[in-house]
Amino acid sequence: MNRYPTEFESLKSEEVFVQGMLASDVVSLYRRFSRAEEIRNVARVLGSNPPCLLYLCDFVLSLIDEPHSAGYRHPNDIAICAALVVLHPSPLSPVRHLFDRLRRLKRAPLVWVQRMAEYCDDGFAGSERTSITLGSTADGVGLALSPNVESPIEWNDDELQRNRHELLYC
Amino acid sequence: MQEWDRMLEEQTVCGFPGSIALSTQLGRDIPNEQVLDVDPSHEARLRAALQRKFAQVADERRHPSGVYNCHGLTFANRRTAIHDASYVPLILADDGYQKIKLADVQPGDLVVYYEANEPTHSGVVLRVIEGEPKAVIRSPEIMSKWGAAGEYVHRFNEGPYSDSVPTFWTDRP
Repeated sequence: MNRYPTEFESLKSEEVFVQGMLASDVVSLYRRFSRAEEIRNVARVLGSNPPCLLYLCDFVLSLIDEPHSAGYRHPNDIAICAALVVLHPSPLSPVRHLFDRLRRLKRAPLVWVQRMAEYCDDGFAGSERTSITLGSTADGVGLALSPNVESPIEWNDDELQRNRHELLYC
Repeated sequence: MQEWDRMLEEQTVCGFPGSIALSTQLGRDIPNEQVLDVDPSHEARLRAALQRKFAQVADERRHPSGVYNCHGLTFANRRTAIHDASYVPLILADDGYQKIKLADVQPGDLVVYYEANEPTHSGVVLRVIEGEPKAVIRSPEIMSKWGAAGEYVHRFNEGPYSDSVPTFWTDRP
């Protein structure tokens, strides 16, 4: 059974994959993803259901955990980058924890993930961001993702680390 | 232990594929990085998708590679990838490139695409296709590498970067 909202699967779609592969650097990758309809749709889902942010964190972990060869790029690196673009404005501690770990993940197959995590995390920390490019408060997306909005969910990092499946799927 | 916990622990052992010494003509260092290729199945998926989308306007000349990107093709002869595009204006300045008009473009000149004042893509002019009247209709054909995908030959205003603003540069006297 698929535990995630069906929209998450679109992050692995051919359109997102191709858009990601056409980017020459992380800035243009972020910009391309900010415009991608598939990614905006995921942001809308989160906007209407904020707890889904944590499902998306878990989706990222599940993508990383998929088997891959050390000699090639991770097969899900573009999908993970797309998810990070959606997640990055969130102030939730599990989300920030995820970025903190990914930006230190200096593994060759995941170099684009590391770059995107670093870029997004720096952007979160270095700005007084009150709105995001993925949506606006008008469609509910900005409301869910704005760091200035108090989150209804507070999980600490240890909990997420200890048993994320139990936390997410109870 | 989670897979990515293991990766974190191994990060000191498994580094990036590497970078090379790269500098401008004035000797300023340019950060660069060669990264891994996509696996064969994803490469096939990528090439097929690009073929479907752009077969009418672009010809693939080289297969996908992680070793270099568009700026690596344009400024480093395919040896490495320049992933920080903010260095592109520095390279153009240090290497003596001057911005020129479309009407003055010649084979060997460069095209750099911008979006929101930031370079997004670059390539090399292969030839200039003249229309009628020649003074008005000029369409440089360029060779460029499309991100982590392959190299393609295409008109400067066609392909996946046609939404960006093209600028032309030459180091001719």
